[in-house]
Formats: sequence, structure tokens, C-alpha cells
Amino acid sequence: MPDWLGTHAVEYVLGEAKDSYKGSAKSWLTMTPPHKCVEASLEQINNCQLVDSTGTVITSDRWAVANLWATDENKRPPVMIAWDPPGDGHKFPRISGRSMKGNALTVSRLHVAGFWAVGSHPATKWRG
Amino acid sequence: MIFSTRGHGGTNGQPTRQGFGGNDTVQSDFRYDLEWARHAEVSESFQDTAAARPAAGSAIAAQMTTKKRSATFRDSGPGKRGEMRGAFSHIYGRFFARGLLEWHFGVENLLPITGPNPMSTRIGVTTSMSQERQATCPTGLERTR
Repeated sequence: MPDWLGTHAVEYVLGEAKDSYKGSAKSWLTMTPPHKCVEASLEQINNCQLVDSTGTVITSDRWAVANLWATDENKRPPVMIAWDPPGDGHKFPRISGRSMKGNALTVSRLHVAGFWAVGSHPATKWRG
Repeated sequence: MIFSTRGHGGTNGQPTRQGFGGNDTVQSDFRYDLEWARHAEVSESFQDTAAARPAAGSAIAAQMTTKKRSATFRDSGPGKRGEMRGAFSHIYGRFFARGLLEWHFGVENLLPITGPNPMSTRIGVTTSMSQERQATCPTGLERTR
């Protein structure tokens, strides 16, 4: 599962964060093959689907963000890679503007509710 | 900081989104604003667990280097042993990634996802495992990382 679901304009966005202390900046910027950490984030972000209330798969943007940490001690430059992998295009339907407005409002309400809920986020407590 | 976007424009064949850096862009002088991470730290801490609230907004400031290099930890970084270091790096990784998505890419209303559950009656996230993999997975759900 990715880390977050968010909204951007008229699209849903799935986001995933990964990070590592190990490796050189050079190995991180070489994408053939990608660094293990970057590859894991891509695998995770691609291994899920967004569905609406009827169970229909809908299109979403995806962002995998991977960090290579730098410290005073190791003196290497920090690296941050933001990757939006090839999407599913128009294979799955986009939801209409009106529905998206309602859905974005729902996500927004859950987002705000999360700040006031005691314990974990209300969205994570749903049991169907 | 070296910042790289490996974007494909979001969806197949469509032009790259404006302002998102373009395809396969590398910036070696990218200045990650630590304020992004501090804001993200507060949001993330408040949304994920009540236990983290007293520390919200202070951890990033305490751990970053005093030098003017962005995203560089002071000394040898948070945590002494491998396991703790890994745990800290995961936590800070979430803050930095969330900061980038929210402040650089303009993604809003980020909700944490903890499992393949419906987020509400309108929207849900499911794993897209193949049927072969589902058959060999005892719970039917992929292990979350």
C-alpha cells in the first residue's frame, strides 16, 4: 500500500515515501537499474488501485518519493527522487468533474477530521 | 541537494504537467525548504498518532545540520544503531516526501493509508495482486510495508 491518498486539481494522487542511508549519490541517479530503494517505492506505488463506491477502478496520479540521506559525517550530497511512473492512462475511467468535487470534499473532510480525532486517523478505523 | 524527477507526465502519452520539472530532470542545486518538512511533520504527526503530538514540529529542527546545506542531518544522523537509524529515516522520509508533495507539487488533503480499506463510502484503495499471488497469500491481502 502507498502512504497517502491526496487530491490535486481534478485528480486523485497516491503518494509513497522511501528512504535510505546507504548508497552513493551516483548509484541513486543511475536508473538502469534503479536503486533498490527507488525500485521498492515504485513497486509499492504500482501495486494498488483506487476504486469508487461501486468498486470500479478509477484513474489516479502516482508519486514515489525516495530520499538518500546525507549527514555531516558522510559528507555526500542528499538526493531526492520524485518519480511519477507511467500511469494507467485512459484504461480506467476518470470520474466526472461533479463527482470529483464531492469526492475531493470527502477527502478534505477526512483530512481535517484527522487533526481532531484522538488516536489514529478516522479513515483507518473504517470496518466494512 | 540533488533533486531528480523521472516523470512520465502522469498518464500515458500525455504532455508533462507544467511546473513539475519535466521528464527525467536532474537539479543539482535544488534547495529543499526545511519549512516544508516542518509543516509536513506537524500534519503527519497529528494525523497518524496522538502519541507523537507533543513532539510535532520540533524533531526536524533539532536533527538538521546547522550548516546551510538542505536536508543534511547533523553529526551521524538520528539514531545510533542500524535499527533505530532505519526507523528514524523512515519517519523523516515521510515528512520530507509529504513536504515535497504538498509544497512543491501542490498535492492537497493527504490522508494516511494504512491498509486496503475503503477510505470512505466514496473512495477506497485496493491491492492489485494477481490471482496467482492472491491464491498463495493466506490472508488474501498483501503484507503492508
